[in-house]
Amino acid sequence: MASNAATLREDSLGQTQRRDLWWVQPVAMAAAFIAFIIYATYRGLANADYMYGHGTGKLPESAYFLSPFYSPLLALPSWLPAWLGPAIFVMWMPAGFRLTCYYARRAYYRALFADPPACAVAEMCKKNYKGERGVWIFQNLHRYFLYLAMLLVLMHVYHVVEACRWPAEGGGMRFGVSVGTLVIAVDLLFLSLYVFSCHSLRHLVGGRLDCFSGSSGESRYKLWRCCSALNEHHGKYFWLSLFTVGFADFYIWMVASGRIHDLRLF
Amino acid sequence: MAEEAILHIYRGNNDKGEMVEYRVPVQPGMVVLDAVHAVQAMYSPDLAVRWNCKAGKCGSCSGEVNGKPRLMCMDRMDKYPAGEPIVIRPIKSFPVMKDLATDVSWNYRVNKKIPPFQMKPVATSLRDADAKSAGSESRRDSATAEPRFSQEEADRVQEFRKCIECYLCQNVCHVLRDHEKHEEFGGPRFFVRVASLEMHPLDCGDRLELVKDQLGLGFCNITRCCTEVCPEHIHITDNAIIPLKERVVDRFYDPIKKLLRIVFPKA
Repeated sequence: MASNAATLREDSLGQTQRRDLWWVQPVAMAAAFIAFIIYATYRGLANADYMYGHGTGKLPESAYFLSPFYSPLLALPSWLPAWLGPAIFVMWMPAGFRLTCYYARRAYYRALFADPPACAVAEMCKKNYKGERGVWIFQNLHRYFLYLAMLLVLMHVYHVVEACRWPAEGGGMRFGVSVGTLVIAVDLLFLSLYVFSCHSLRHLVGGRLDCFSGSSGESRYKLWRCCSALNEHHGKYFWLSLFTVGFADFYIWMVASGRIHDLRLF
Repeated sequence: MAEEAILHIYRGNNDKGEMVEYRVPVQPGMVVLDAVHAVQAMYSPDLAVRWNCKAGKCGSCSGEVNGKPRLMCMDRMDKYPAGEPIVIRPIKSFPVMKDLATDVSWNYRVNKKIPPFQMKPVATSLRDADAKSAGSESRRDSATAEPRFSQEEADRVQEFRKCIECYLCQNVCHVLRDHEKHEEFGGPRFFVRVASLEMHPLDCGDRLELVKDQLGLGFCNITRCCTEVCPEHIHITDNAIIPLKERVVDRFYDPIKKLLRIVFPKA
């Protein structure tokens, strides 16, 4: 059906008539994805320096801090091999949410699979294309990962509250904030924005309805409007939350390993 | 002396063609379609190009300018560097009839597959209708008996009515452009049309099986090129394709909903 005119051919990867720097975005995204995957895999398998504060044996004078990669912290049975840390049993949830995210799909289909690398640019493999009908049909489970991600957001709220409870000199706890508290609070903010701007959530709260009238319809319309407003920036929140979650883990790693000191602000 | 634009325009048909260079004077406010018309006037009256309104509202003058799908009447010449050739080609996903005119009749055949608007049965009274607002019966004004729905409900489907059928989204969609799935895939334009009907508060038609099986919604891997090229700035991916994908998941892929339908068939 498509034109066969000889001069219109786009047969091999990257062939295009475009003259702009179309390759910059997919290359930058591929670099960001690969860097994050390598870092998260290393930290998930490291099984060390992922928490500090009272009750952890490290920096007992500090509030309790836990890396977001290890949240919620699972108590594993002793018969498991030592290299199987708690992160392995937790990270599949946020990883699954991000892997099946509608924005992320656009980003990694373009950046990692060049399918297509950019609009009106020839792609890598033209044979046996099945889109999301073949092996990628599991993307349809995104809503279940959403439910898990919402639970993880609740866990992050708990960790931010814990990061504000510092041991007092005379015993007991008192309110306090350090740079670390701000780091995980910012991570919570962007993670929440990312999760609550999800396309599946937008569908579940009201998008699935055709009529917004009636007793529950109006409230669901308001929810749908809120979700839609956030949804417009879903891609930005994806990248910001990816950065903040990685940075929060890095900060806790650095403090827990004694390389830097967590400055208490008040 | 007026500045000169160098145009490389595709001349030929679907089987044989070449790029031909033309030079035309550039006038202030000129768009690419004006330059093509200048070529017709100065050198080649037989140059085929489809156009109508010159205001970005008829969707006739779709083409590829320097490799980017655009409406030629909305593409200003002054954004291209002076002295560099501007390459103008017909849209790639459809057969070339002559020069810049393509045969887009495939789209009309796809359109015929989509069942048109089907009015919900009339509610017996306004109070009944309010009670069944999310149900299958439509609401009517008590005085005029005209069907009615809220502005909020209208706003959502109104966006889809902005489509001018320029087929730039169909052209740039890699499922059609690269994989040539014209037999199995409907393309973004028709997902927009299905969404406008499926989300209409007074429509009772069911097109989800059609959109999944015959229009091949699963082939779409939501790379958003359709949204990027839409001259009407319709959020094709976010507001039409993804909501349709979610409705298809509701019906066909959600294991818990499937189980609930087996246990509670009437609900």
